[in-house]
Amino acid sequence: MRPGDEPGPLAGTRVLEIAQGVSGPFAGMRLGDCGADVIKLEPVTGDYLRALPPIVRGESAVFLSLNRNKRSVALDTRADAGRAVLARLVAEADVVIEDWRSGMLDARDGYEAARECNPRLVWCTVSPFGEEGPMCDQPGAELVVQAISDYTNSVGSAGAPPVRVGADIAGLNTGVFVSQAITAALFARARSGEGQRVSVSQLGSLLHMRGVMWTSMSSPDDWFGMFNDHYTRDPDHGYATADGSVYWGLRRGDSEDWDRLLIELGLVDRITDPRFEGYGRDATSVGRYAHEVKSVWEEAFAAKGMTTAEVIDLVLSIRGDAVPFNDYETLVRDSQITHLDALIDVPHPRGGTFKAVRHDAVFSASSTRIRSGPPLLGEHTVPVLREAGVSPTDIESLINAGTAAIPNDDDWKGVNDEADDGRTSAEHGVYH
Amino acid sequence: MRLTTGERLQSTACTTEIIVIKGVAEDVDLRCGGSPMVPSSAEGNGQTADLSADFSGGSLLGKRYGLASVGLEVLVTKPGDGTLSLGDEALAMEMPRELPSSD
Repeated sequence: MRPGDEPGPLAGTRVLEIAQGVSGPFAGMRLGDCGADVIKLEPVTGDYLRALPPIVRGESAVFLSLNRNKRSVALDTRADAGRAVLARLVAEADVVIEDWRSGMLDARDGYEAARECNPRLVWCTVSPFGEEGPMCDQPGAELVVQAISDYTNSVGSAGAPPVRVGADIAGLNTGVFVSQAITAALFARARSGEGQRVSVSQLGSLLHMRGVMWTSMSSPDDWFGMFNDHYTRDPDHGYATADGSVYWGLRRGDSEDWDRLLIELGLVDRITDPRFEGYGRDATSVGRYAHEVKSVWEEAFAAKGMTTAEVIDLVLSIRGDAVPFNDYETLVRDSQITHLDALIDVPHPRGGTFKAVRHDAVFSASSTRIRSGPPLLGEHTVPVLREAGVSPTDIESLINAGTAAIPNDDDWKGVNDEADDGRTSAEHGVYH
Repeated sequence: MRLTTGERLQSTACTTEIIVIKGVAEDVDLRCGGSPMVPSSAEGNGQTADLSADFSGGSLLGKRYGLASVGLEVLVTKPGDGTLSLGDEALAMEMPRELPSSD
């Protein structure tokens, strides 16, 4: 076995992803990265995310980033024949991820029915606000959940209106929570032999991400750290240098490290400034006076004409933290990022590759390799239905009736297929 | 002389320069290389005295020196060949203080 070809830690686990958007698909992708066989069940019109810009060679970049290591089945579950196929897929699944917004099944009753024929099934429901309470039936979206969870107060300027966090933190963080909850339920099943239903909400996930805040704000007057940093300070754009900006702070080291920093920067007179007491802990990073004395540090850097690299070298030499404020252009060239090979090329469903982030967990004995790029809509409808015991004739009938769908263009053939014998899907006779 | 916190002094016998970290209220006789130190001047180091052989142990850049019995603490901002002392009593070089890690 070649290095990297080891089975993933979840190899042998069948996941049926009946979810659209970000949270459910991100969870499905994380499980797929870990080796699970993830079947993405989509309406025949496709996951709505497929149409969301930005578009990369005809495909949504957002969709591409959330759906590798999956097989796509396009099925109309409003039709009786479609529901019958769905029941087969659920019966053979270890895990179902469902998002009630998909509209493809009844979330609340679906589990009970599925459990009758598949008691080992782990069923995870993803919702915006939870399944109970006055908002349980309301639709949600990224900004909606950020707003209600108080996340929008973490950025922006003091006294200014709340600001949306740029990244889809509600959607993506919930995906991580979902994959963790499913893994825990699978672990419980390994002990008990019984599956169970688990519910994860975007609101609950963001509240959890803010857990430090809730505890700290129980006595805000006694706490100056992240409270001030998040609520009353301007956004941190780093410390200006001769050629950019740098983030730095002191959290380790000894008294001589601090003394040397002040000497090197010509700031030794500041050693008696009360704001600089505490060997820099109060005057850097999230320290009590860090914001107030930021200009002092910047003026010192400027007086010496220090570049970002020079500031980083100095701070690291006194055992501090120092990193550049990266943007995309500098990120992709960053020596740490490139060393970790964190940004990798993933097969594009229409040929070529696109950039994506490698799975974050590194297992010593298991692989999280990219086995396949994001699928075209219905790319695996035929083989998956064949595996589920649906006859070729019935599959053809489903397709002809519009209850199931396969890709409607020719340039997809074989792009994502990584059969052991090197043959494409068409050569396997699964697409005709 | 009285030493005020934040005051900067220079040696008259070598290149040593210091800043007072913890001053003392009473008059003291701070020396370097055996000769009294003087307030730093913008004109630079005026070495007007000879280095005493008995006080030629040197001062190290970035090191703090002090005398606990008096409460004095200084930081060397420019090293030199002279020994820091209060009168004839040499200041002790302090060991760096390990600080708690916050991560």
